[in-house]
Amino acid sequence: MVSTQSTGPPVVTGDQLEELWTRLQLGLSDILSTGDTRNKSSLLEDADNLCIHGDKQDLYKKISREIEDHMRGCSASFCKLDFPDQTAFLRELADVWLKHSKQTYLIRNIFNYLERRYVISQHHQLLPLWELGAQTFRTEMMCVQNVSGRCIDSVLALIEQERCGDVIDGSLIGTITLMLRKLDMYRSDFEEAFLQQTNEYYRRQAVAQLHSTAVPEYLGYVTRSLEEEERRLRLYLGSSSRDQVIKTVETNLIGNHIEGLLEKGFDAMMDGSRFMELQTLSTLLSRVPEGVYHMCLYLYDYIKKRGLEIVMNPEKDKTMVHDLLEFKCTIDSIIEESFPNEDCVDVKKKAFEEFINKRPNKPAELIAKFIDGKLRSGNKEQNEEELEDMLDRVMVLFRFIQGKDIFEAFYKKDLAKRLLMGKSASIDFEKSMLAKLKRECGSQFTFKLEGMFKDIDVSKDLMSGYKEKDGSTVDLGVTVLTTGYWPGYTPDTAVVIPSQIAKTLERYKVYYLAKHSGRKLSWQHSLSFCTIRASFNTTSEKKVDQRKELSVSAYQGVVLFLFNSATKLSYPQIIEATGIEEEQLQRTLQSLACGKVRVLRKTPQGKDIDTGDSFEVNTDFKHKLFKIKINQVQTKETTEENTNTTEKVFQDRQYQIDAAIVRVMKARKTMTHPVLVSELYNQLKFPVKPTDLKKRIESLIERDYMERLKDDINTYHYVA
Amino acid sequence: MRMNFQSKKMSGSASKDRMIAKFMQLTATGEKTASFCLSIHGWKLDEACDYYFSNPEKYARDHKQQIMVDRKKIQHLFDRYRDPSADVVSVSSSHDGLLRFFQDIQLDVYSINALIFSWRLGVVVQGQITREEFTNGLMALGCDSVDKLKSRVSQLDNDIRHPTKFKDFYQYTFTFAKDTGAKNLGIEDALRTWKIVLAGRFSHLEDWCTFIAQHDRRSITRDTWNLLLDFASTINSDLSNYDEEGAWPILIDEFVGWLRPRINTSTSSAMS
Repeated sequence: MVSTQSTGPPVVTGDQLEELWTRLQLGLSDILSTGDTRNKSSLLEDADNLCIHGDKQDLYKKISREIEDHMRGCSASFCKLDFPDQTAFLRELADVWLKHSKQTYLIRNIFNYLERRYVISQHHQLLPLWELGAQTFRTEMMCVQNVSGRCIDSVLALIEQERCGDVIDGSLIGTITLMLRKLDMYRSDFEEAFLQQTNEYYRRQAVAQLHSTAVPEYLGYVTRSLEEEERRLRLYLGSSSRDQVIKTVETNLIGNHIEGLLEKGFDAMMDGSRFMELQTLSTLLSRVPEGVYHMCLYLYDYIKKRGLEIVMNPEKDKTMVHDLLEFKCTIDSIIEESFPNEDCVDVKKKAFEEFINKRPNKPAELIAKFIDGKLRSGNKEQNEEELEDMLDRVMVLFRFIQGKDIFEAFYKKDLAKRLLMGKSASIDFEKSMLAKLKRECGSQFTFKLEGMFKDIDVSKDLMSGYKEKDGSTVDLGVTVLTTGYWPGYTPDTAVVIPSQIAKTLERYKVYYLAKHSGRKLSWQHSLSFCTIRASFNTTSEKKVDQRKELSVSAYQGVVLFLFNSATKLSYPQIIEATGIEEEQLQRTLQSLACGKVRVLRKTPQGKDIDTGDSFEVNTDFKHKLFKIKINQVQTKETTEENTNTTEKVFQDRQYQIDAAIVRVMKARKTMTHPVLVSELYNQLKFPVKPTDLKKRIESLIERDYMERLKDDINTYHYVA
Repeated sequence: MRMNFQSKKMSGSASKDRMIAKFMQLTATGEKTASFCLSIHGWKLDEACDYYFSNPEKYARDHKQQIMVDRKKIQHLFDRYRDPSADVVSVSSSHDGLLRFFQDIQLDVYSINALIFSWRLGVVVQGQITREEFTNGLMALGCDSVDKLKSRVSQLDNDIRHPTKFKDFYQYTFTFAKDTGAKNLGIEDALRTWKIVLAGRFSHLEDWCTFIAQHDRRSITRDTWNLLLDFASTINSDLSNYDEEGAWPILIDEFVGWLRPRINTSTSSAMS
């Protein structure tokens, strides 16, 4: 600010300019030595005047020199000092810098006019005053006697100490780094050395820590290290190096040891369902390239490994489904809690599908049996909601299975038993299960099953109609099964039914055929059951009539009825009189004479039935209950039934393969072997081996459905 | 086992003569036929033979193979050996015409020549030759006397020299060896026949027979029979070019699986 009014026209003499400068010089000297000066406002005036009337260039030079001289002096005395440690050195340096900063700032304020009117226009050649001060500091202080080198070494050393756990003066570091930035020395002199040191430090640490700690602890260490670096950057180092520092830490602690980490600790964490630890692992791995990719590989292998343990061991068959459900549940929660990303969900699905199908057929069979167990009456384990939930979870397992036809065969067989023996817990559950299967596999899959339910309903109606019409007193229930809907049963028309019952059955038959004249009915006695009132005459003096009501299978009933007209019968005699197939008969006799409830006595005693055995009524028979069930034999599955069911499915598969081959060959007329095989794989819905296909192809060649080309044994031709 | 024909571009007539001679030997034809066929097919011996065999009538240029064959003589010959009760020459225990016939023409019953002879005659039922088969067969062979037959019999191996001819012959032996009504060939008969017809043509013949003998298959299908020849002629001795994923019959797949470890152990023991 120029004051013009008070003293008249402006002063411009050389002497006066000299005077102005002298005063200013003194002022500068004050500032530079003490950091402040008394008469700021008059100094300002002088500065402005000198600027306006004097040589600006010269003034600038003079200021520059003052600062320079002063700096040199500072530097000299600084370098003479002895410092006990690095912190002290840095402290002194910081002190000098701060003072200098303040001084430069003040000087700049005073010569503000010069700055604005001259320096800025000369910006190509001249530094602004602040920058001038900074540069002077750099050249006269830092670049002298390796002050900068010492400074950086000290800072790095302190950081290293802090990393190792010591407490250091963080704000001091902050000041120094800020100084370096302002001196334009941060990037050029400090940063690279800092990054290298960081890299080296964490490289060593990784090896040491991995070696000495378990994975969960290591993960904790990594997390803490990252946090610490972030904190240090935030509080004192400034954020310009942040990305590189963090990347260095990540690379050294995680990126270079991904496989090592996973190999060492993944399985254990999974086994223990360590949600938090797995989540940490997942988070940390996601920070490095390919981290998640490798983790997914390990996840896949883990699921497959544990899954195979459940599925491949025949001794564990009894609990397979239960174990699988539990396993799936655990994996689901782990993935949800700790690996919430799409890739992991995909991996889970693939792994499950892979291991479940490694054991052909058994899982499908066991799942069907499991559902049967749940749908049977007497299953008091769960309430409605729990049961629905469990069945839904079973369906998820079912979805992974590739040979669904095995499941269908067993499910159908068990459903038939449930429906016919009245063993369903609730028709609603049955229907709900059916709906689930329909949603999963389509209506073709459930069409026959639905037919079975229809038969049951229709039979009920027919029965009430019959009872009305017939008015007989025999308590009869008939279910008419449509062939094709139900599993195949071996016909047993040779069985001799007691005449009384046979008459009743005949009457029903007449009634039915009157309604459906074109149809053919044949009785399936193996599926039938009845209640017999039996009275066992005791041989004791008491002569109390032991009366019991026995729930028995039709076969059992047929055998028992024989003893109404004979006291003792030999095994061959029973064969002849009943017409029951031998293996079945043996089982029947065993259930009557060798089990827990012995209504017949066998001579000689023993578990097996031989031709020399003879049977009679067990007159000493006692049981606490009046109504006794002996027909569980019908509901249990024999090993033959089991193998028969699977055999039928395999037979059926053969037919399907044949049909598919013929279909494809008929359409294309000529095909090479590999093309045919690949087309078949597309069409067939169950798992097949290449040998299975070859067998059928050979069979079809033998039966002249197709032939090989004369000159190319690899190509087939359809024979019309 | 393939026979390598050398088809060089020939210019001189001497080499043409050589080719004609070779052709005649291979196809049992006359000179006129040979040179006609060769000239049509650019003097490529290989090709010419192939074409000839597929259509012999097309190329026949020699009148009745230079040799006159008397049909009546053939009929008389048949009558000499025929069964008293049927119009066949057979091995019936009483008469045994077939055996005497073979003895007279010096044909070893158990040799491959006997099979080739049956093939040339188109014999359908083992153990007997019908009048028709006898007559047409001998006409085709150009023989109407025992002496002519004797000399012809000694050259029978020529007839199967060319791979196409051999294949036809080999496939015939399946039909010949099996029971007339049956679809497939029993193991015993199969082994016996293989040992005769594949001798010297299948490096693993012995292994194959061992394998089959201990396998639980009781019969061989036509397809498997036929493909064994392809196996023998195209697959390397060390099985290196065998493709399990290919269209080979399962029995051959199983053979390879059985054979591989045996080959490896024998080569490794040979090396040590």
